[in-house]
Amino acid sequence: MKNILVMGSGLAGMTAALKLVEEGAAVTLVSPAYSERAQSVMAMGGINAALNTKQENDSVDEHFADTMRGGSDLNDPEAVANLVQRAPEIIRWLEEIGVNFTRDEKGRVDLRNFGGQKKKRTAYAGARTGKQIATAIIAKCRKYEAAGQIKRLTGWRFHSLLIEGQECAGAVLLHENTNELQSLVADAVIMAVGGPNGVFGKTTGSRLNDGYAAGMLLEQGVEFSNLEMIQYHPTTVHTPSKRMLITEAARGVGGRLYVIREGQPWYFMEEWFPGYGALMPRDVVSQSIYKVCNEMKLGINGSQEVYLDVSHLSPEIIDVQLDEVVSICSKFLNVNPYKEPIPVAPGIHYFMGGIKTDKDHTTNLARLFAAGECSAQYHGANRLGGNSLLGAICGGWVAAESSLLVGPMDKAAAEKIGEQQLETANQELQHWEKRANTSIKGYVQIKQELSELMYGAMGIYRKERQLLEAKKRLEEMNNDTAESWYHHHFYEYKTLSANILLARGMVESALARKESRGAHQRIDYSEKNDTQFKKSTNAVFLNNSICIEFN
Amino acid sequence: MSIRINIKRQENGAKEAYWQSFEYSGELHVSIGTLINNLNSEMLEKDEGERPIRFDCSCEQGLCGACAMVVNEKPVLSCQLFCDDLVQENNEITIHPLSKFPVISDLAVDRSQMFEVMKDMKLWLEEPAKVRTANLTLQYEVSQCLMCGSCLEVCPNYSLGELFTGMSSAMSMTNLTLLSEDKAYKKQYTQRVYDGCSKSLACQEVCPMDIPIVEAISKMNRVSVWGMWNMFTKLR
Repeated sequence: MKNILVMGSGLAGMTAALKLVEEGAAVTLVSPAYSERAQSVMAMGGINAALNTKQENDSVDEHFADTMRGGSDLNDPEAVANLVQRAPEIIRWLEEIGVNFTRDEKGRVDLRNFGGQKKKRTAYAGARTGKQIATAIIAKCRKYEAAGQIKRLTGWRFHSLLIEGQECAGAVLLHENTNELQSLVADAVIMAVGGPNGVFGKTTGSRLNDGYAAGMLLEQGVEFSNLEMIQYHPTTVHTPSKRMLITEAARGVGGRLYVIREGQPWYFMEEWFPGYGALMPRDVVSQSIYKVCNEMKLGINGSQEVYLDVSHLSPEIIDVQLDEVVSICSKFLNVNPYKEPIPVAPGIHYFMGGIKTDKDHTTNLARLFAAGECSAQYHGANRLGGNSLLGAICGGWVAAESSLLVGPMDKAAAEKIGEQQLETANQELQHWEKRANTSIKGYVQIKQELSELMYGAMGIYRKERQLLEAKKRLEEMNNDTAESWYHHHFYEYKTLSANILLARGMVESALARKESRGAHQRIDYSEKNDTQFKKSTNAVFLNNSICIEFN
Repeated sequence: MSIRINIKRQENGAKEAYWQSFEYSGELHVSIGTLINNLNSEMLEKDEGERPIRFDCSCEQGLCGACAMVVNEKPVLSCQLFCDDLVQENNEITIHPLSKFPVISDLAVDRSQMFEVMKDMKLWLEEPAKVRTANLTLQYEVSQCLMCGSCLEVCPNYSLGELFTGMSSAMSMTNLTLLSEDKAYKKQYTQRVYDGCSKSLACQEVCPMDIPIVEAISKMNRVSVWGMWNMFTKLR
């Protein structure tokens, strides 16, 4: 029987675990918190599948074309072909396991419009699709947990990968509360740890997705692709704790974007993009808001914000499909969306780039697979709304299937590496414990500076000079971390240097891509350049520096 | 304006608990979660070696249930309750961890038992779900349960490790019963919820998702009556 280690218990991790046990493997499912806390539950809008139930002649081919166009052709076409092909099957499976999808008048799974797609293709469960899907999948996993086929390790973090020769042999895990370390040997490891929100600080996502694992994997030689592709969701709101998302469904059901020009509302998206209007792909909407606020200086009171208006919609639609929007607006903004427009601005929402995988979700290391937001294959330079839940579930399935194909491993060699690496990790922990009284000033400042630096250099529009400055500063910061100490929390302490390394990967990728494509817009290279750059950036950490290639 | 924040602290399960008070004069239209983050930032800024306040946190917008704690004697999600709403009458806010679970550190508690009992009760579907559109709304509502533990905090009948498992498990049982024709969940419900529930309905008041708990359990009770009625007709 194969032993597979799955890191992360959001939708990608759980679907991988389910597929694995159904095929007879034993799974260890590791996560810092229960699946109810995973970022997946925050996905509100929906999940795409060309079910073609709306008399619009939708097809898998059109879903493919929209996804590729949305991603400016950086997506892996083979992977996307598989994604859209499996989408209807995924919806059927979710229905079968008890996801409470919203139904149409005939009792079928209802579909609605989402950005970058003219056809109604987005299935949804009220205003909380991710949560409803998670509830059903959690119950399904519970059966195998009770039978001992899925072993959950909750409260544990990824520490490092066990690498034997050119193969992954398992991982070292760290318990966040007790600082206990353990090494686990496995036939294969599937990373499903989510996006690296921690590199930027405030994003729309979960605080648990801190980016440590990605930084550590980069340090250990795992290749990353398209790290510069970071999605700014066009409609987010500022709160003291974080950026909060106003779901794309608000525009899907007819919400409009405007600013005041010469005393009148000006619906700039509708004027610039007749047809799609405010439902253009997210990168285009964010860039348009940037232009309106910065080049035309028409942002609300000179700010970076524009109005999102749903007040013309019927109260029933707002009640049923946008209840989360109402709740955010009334609680955090003191805005009543039934009557007033919502001031919104673009904010970081999704990382299209990540661990480089192919259509089978294999990485550059044998026996290591990746799925969900931490990996890159489906979304290219920009992700379509409704494709992330789909990508997480499809990715979980495919990674599971691929991981079952690995051959027998040299268990003795793997155990030996495990022991050695555990010993090194324990030494590092002891070293940290001994330095308990050193000042933490540097740590707090570096963390703050990292967030500001990344938001500055990796904004909606990027320029060479700023990127070069960020690159230089990140290298200095990397040296400074050796002197800065955080004695309150070993894991958080370790996160800082991992975040800085990943940040370097992002900045270097952005520097290398001297063109504008999808979520990556360069002021100094404002055109798309297919001859040179219709390829993925590939970042590797070699001899203490980041090397970028295109392939 | 300066307000006083009292927080019950405990380094870990093996150490003694103690109360610590903080004076806070920062922004007041912030959630309790942000308030704690601000207190921690001030602490780290001073760099006097004081231990930051630990609490669980993930989504920071009321969707994940991680940050449930007791604020002014009421269980809440700390990201959903605002300081300015609390200090209108009294310039003091008192925070302690959920009291029915073992403390991990400060405001972070070990809720694993809530999850474990659901395995014991076999709360999963054995057959493909049956879609009955009439049930959809209630299924949706009960599926919103965050497993935060707020309902158990105020429940006069719940204590850790006892037979009665409370409303977090009852919400799952309701969903599964509505999605299937399986009687097994109903049986678990009778033994582990119905028999132990004194119907104080305090849970309904505190549920952060406003799940219609009363509606859910009366539906479960009705299903049981129907079950008996069917049995009688068969016997006749």
